[in-house]
Amino acid sequence: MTDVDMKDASAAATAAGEKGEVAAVPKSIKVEDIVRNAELIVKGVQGDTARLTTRAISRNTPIRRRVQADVLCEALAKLLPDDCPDKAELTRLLAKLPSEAVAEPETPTTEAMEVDSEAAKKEAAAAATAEAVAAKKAEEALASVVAAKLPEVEVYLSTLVLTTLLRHKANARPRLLGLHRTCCLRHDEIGQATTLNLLLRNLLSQNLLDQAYKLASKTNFPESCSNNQFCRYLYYMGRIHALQLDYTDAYTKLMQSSRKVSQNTAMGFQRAAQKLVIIVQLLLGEVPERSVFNQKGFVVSLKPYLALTQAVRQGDLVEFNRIVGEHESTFRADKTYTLIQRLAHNVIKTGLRKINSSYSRVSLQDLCEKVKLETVQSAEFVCSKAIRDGVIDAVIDHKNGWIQSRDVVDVYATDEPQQAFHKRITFCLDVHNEAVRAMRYPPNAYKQELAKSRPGMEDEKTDEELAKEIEDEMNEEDGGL
Amino acid sequence: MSKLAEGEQLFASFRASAEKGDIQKAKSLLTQLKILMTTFDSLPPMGAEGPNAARERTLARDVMEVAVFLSAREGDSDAFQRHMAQLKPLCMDFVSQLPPSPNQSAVLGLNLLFLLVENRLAEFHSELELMGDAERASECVMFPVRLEQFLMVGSYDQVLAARDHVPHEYYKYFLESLLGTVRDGIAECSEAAYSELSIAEAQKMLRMDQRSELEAFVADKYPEWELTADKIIFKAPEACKKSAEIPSMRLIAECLSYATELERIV
Repeated sequence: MTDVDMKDASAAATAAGEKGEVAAVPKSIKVEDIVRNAELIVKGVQGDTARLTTRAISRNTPIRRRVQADVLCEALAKLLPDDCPDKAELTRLLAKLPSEAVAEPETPTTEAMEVDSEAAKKEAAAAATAEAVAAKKAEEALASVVAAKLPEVEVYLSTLVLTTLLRHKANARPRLLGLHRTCCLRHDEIGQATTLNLLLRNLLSQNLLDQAYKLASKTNFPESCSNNQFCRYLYYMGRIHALQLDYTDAYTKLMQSSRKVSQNTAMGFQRAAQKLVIIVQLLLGEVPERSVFNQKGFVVSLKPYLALTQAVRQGDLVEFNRIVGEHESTFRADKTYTLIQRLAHNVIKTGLRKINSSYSRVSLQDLCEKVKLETVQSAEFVCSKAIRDGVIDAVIDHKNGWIQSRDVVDVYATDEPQQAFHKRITFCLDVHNEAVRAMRYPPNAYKQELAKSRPGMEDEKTDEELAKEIEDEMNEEDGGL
Repeated sequence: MSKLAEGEQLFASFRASAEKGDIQKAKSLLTQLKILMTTFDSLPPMGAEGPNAARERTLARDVMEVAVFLSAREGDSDAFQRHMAQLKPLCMDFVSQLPPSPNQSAVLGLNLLFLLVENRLAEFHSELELMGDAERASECVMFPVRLEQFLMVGSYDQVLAARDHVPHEYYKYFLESLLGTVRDGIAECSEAAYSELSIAEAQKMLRMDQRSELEAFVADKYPEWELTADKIIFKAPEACKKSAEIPSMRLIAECLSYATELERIV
């Protein structure tokens, strides 16, 4: 499994490099920033307000990109209690990193890994603090509430330990599974989403497709809690479906994923998703549009795929094999090689379709030579299979040894256009409904509007002020009595 | 005598009788071995480490490999699946500890072939993903992979021709059942592709020697085909898919759903 996250980080770094020196002197990250973020998480956890946690996560992005190892070390020392079991391990790992491990675009891979590991460490730092503080508070009074949220915190911790350090090791799985169970039991959605994705990635990185598929079919992914996690989940699911020959499902999932992903960042993820989309489309017998390959930031990485698409489109088996051989290492690195090997019979199908539309009657001998099949008998079988699969519409005349095309049916005489139309309308309506559902209504907006509509009321006074006034009045009355 | 030594002795006679083809004896020995192996703590699900762990696991793996071959030979697909499932954790999880098995690729290829015969293509590809380059390059694995490609493309004649040069003796037991799958494929395709076919040709395609065999096959699976003295007439498929009638119920349902949705928006 190509590590999407890692690519993500490397792409971000390269993008930063491409922008030149504009962001050359980024605001350096201070210990205070990390501490503040950690406090946010703690508050979010205690106050049961998911939004604070979300804010902390989004603030984490710049920290993740630019933080330096020594700063992290300091933050760790400050935030973690000494009896925290992971502290020693973390400090040891941090010490290993070169202190200037961050924005060096020349060595994208190693650098990406370091950025990634630092990122995770940061998260852990934040998480571990939250855990510690929350545990202390729990002792005091709010035991039930805070304790209920603890696994959420633990998830952040595991993001660290598990994503980076134990990424490819099977022994991370039991711990992740345990975490996932806890998250499910406590209805912690973001925790569920994160652990499930980590599990899927872990399984896919070891090509354990069967297990990944079973895991996914037996769990529910909370779709609404985090868009990024959902995109990742869709990507993993798309991959699983594609490898299991369920191309239609794979295509829907991957398209959804590449549409939902945030457009300006995560180029690495977008590229990985786009590559898979192209292959799946080809496997479905469709040809991806030319514009897909010309998008900014995609041209170079999609070049081998463009060549591949052209070979498939021409139905030229020799050319196809040449291109696959030429770019084999790229395809292997992208983990698309096995999928591409399955394309061979699509090439033959396209070749057949071309011949079928250009000739109304062609002898099997000629056809055999054109599509480069081994024997005439084999060509006959291939054609009959193509006819059954609906690739071509023709009749084989065995006695005379030729294949005769049937007349092209006018597609507008069928109900196909109507069905296509229906599909599009449903899609539009779904988009609209989802947009409505995604709108957030601030809790007091309704009252404010109400206040505005009443002429006598003072507009400036907010609800809080009003509440305060009422309270004051009450106090005065109490004092008076 | 320690349990391990006992097991190794049993295994030797088990393998000997399995190779000789003495299936009854092999099966009873296998049962004894399985009972004995339940006492080994190093095997899954216990997975405990001990001084004899590696030896015990090697023994268990060898036993299971021979068991897999045995059930392939018998054509007992249930037993084959069971033994495969028992063998997999031993092969996969302890791969670094155990000495490489000479039968590894044969077993993997056999499993692939089995999945192909059962037409479980999703699992076929999942298994294939799990293999490394070296394993994929071995002839035993290449063979089922090639077969799968032939089946996908539709070169059924090459599938049938492949029967003559199998890489491993146990493969031929499953290939026999593959013939049935291939025949069904050919029959379905011919139905779509031909309007009529001479009996002699059909027999050649389906690899049937007797006309009576063909007649039985048609009567069993495709009763709608018409058999005359010298040819088969297939039921002509519909000339074109022009919608004979308007699917009114569906159209009404769709229009109503548009109306409700629009109502909600406006």
